[in-house]
Amino acid sequence: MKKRCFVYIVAGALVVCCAVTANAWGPRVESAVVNTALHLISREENLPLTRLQEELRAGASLSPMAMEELFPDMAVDPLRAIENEMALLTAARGARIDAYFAWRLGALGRLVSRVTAPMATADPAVRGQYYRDAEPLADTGSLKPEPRRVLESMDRLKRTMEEANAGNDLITGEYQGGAGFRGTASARLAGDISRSVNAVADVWWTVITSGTVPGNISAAQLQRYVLSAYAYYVEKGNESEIEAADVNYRKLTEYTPDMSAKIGDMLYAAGMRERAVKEYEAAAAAAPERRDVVEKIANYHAEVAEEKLEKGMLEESMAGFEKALSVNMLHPTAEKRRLEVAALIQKRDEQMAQYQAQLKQAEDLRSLAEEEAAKNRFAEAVALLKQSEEAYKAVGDEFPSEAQRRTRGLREVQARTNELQQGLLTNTQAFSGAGFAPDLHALIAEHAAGLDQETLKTMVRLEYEAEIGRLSTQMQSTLSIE
Amino acid sequence: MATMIKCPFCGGLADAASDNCIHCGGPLKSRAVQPGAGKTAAVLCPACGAGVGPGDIVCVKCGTNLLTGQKIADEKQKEAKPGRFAFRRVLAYGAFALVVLAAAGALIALVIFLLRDSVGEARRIAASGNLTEAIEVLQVHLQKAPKDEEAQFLLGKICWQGQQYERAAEVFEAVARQGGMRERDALVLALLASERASKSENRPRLLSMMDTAIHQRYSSDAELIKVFALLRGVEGEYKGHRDTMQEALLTGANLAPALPGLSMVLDNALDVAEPTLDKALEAHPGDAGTSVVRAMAHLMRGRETEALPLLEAAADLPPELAGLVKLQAGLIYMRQGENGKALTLLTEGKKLLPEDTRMEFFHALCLQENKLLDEALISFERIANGKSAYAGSAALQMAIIFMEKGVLDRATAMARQAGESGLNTARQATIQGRIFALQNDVGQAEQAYRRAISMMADYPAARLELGLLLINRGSIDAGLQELEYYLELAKKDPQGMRANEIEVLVAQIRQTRQ
Repeated sequence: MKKRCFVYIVAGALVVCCAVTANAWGPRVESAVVNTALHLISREENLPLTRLQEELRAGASLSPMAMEELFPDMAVDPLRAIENEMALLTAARGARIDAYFAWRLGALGRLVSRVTAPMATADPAVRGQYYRDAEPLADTGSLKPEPRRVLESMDRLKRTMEEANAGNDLITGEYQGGAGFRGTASARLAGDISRSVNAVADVWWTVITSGTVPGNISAAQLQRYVLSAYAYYVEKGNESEIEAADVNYRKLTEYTPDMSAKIGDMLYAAGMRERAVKEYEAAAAAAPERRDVVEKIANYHAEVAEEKLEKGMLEESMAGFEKALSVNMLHPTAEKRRLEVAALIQKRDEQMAQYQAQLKQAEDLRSLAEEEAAKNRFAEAVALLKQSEEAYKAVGDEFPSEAQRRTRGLREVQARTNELQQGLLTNTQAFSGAGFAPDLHALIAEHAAGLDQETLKTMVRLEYEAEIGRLSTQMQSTLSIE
Repeated sequence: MATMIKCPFCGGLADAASDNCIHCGGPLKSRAVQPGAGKTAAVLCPACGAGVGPGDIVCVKCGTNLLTGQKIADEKQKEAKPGRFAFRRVLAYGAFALVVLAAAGALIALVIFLLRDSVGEARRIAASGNLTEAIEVLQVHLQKAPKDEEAQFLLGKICWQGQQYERAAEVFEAVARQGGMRERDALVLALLASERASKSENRPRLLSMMDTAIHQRYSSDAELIKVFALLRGVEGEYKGHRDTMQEALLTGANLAPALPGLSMVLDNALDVAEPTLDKALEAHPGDAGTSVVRAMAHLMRGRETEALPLLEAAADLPPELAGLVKLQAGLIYMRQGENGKALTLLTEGKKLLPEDTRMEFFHALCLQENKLLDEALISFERIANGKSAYAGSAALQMAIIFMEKGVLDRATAMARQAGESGLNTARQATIQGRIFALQNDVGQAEQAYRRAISMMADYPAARLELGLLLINRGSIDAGLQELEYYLELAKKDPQGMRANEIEVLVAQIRQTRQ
């Protein structure tokens, strides 16, 4: 048990050393304050903040730099910073508390917690030691809740700050006296934390429940808020949240073309290009003179076209480049790439036609082979199958359908070839008699030799006989004895 | 009108008012001798009492006319009565007179004989139908007057009429030799008679005579030149045939359009013949004879494709020629493998030349190629049982048919018969080998194949069959060697001899051995 405690102590000391700032509660205390305020307000006031506790805690655990960025006046005039943030959040609240709002509440809570921490005006060395000593005791002691109050102004918070720092001298004395945290500091710790918790809860309660829209919040502030919200959601990468926020924020403020362009940039950088392009298109529609936006849209289409091209989707790529050109006729590469893709399409179509012809030839050869095989002419069938195989092999992998046909055809041809080769050796006798083919010609040549001469001689003889017959008739009178 | 009665002696009709018969002089009224008056009166001569026959008129004993009762001898005896000497003198004068009379008669007969018209007589006799006597008359006459051209010519004509053509040919030839007025007719008739007598041996002699006669006296006689030209062609004098045909053409002889070209083709002058025939065909597009000769010229050049339509177009030819043309066309179709068309032509040809064994053989061969095996067998059997030059080949074809039908005993018998008919060829031996192989007599089959190869080393069928047999028997290397030899021989007709398939077979067998 002791050993475990020791480990916890060492670990806690390390965390404190690394994270605790010199003029505010340590992170554990701050976290405890915010969490407790969250539960307090959720339970007591029936506000559904627990569903957003993750975002709220995330907001409460911002880095000092992020806090500085979010609350630029924090160091100089923390109350003013709180007041401004409360006004902004009140203006941006809307009907529904979203994740970003909760995150901002978290950050605001942390700021309030810091402002309401004791020892803020004490000796920095003692103060730092005090916060370090308080850090491990964040969860000890009991909370002293107070009824929720709407802060009409920062006076209440100012008083709370004064209360928190009321025991500074006593505690500093004890520290300087060597008693350290064990004395007054320890005794007041629960009250001090409770004070911060109540302050945070009051601030939140004020922001959430205030019915008055503060008039000092400009459209630019709201637009910055919205842009920050988009940045927040884009970083989270949850498109449904972005979609919901989009609906919500369009009620909050009017989107300028610049806003849309920036939102588009954020979305584009996060890889949500289709949504980004919608924002760009909205921006371009509202401000056609924004060439940068137009170029971004065209670049998007060209980029998509390039990706389609890489995937071999030539028609889609072609359409992409055409779209890019339709958006920006002066796109630096789209026309060149479009022509290249057109050439690729033509080449591909020719290649496909060639493959289809090869496949048809291969299939025709297979059919012929089967006809030959049916006549037991296995060798001829095998020869035809070999030709068919060559034709199949000439088909490449470029086209899935053709490649599939080729693979199937090759498999079948090779199997059939093996079958026929076996049949071949057992059917060599099928070729018997093939050698007699020239014999018919030889027979004709042998027995009909000189038929042409014979025909001509017959013609002469018949002419002669006809002439003899004619003369016989003619000489009949001469031959008469009378 | 006078009443006629029948003479009791001769039976002739005579006037009943006459005393004697006008025919025999017999008494028609009462006479001493009455025929039928009594047998005794007719039996004995009334003068000498010698016996005579019932119808006798003169008594042969005494010379008495039994009808008149006058006695001739009595008259002579009465003249001789003055004495023996006078009688002799009278007898001498009589004899002298008789001699003179006989001499005169002979002289007259001689004159008549010498002065008579034997030719005319013979002509008359011949005209009356007695040709033999007429010939005899003329022969007798010609013995005396052998140079009598007219008589000779007539003799020739009579011989012709008597269908003695051989003799007529001799006689006309003799007349022609004399070179007289009848020379041309005699020459023609000598030729005609010689042809009728089927004396082809006379032709050279007649050719020589005609040659001389034409060149000396009948150089413009188109008819004579034409027949002379044709005779030269028939006799195989193709150079002379061609030259004379040209002469006939120049003299305006009425020649068939094909004849000039035909004479050139026969003289083997195809370069000249072809344009001549083409012109003739152009001038006489439908002339069958010219088409046939043109076709033959194509065939002699080896152009079967060009010849075939001409042969098929030739119509209205004499049956003998038409038969040969059908045969020729049919054989071309057979060589081209179009056996169906060939069969039609050869069937027609067979009808035109029913006695031609060659035609029957090819018709049967065509039937076999058309797989009409039973019909082919009938035809081949007729030829095989004859004595023609086709008997052996027909028997061998029968062996093939029986082999194809699986009737191996008959196939063996026919192959043997082919050999006995003198057909000892590589083909015959190979077919015998195939029959042995089908009878599973591998040893005999191999012997037969080897015998065929010894007869004709380049006989493809023997090489193939031996190769296949050796492979089947397991002698693969030897078998492959034979098959490779066969493949070399099959380059002449790779498709018909299935060279590609056998090449594949060889390659595959080699592959399987690897």
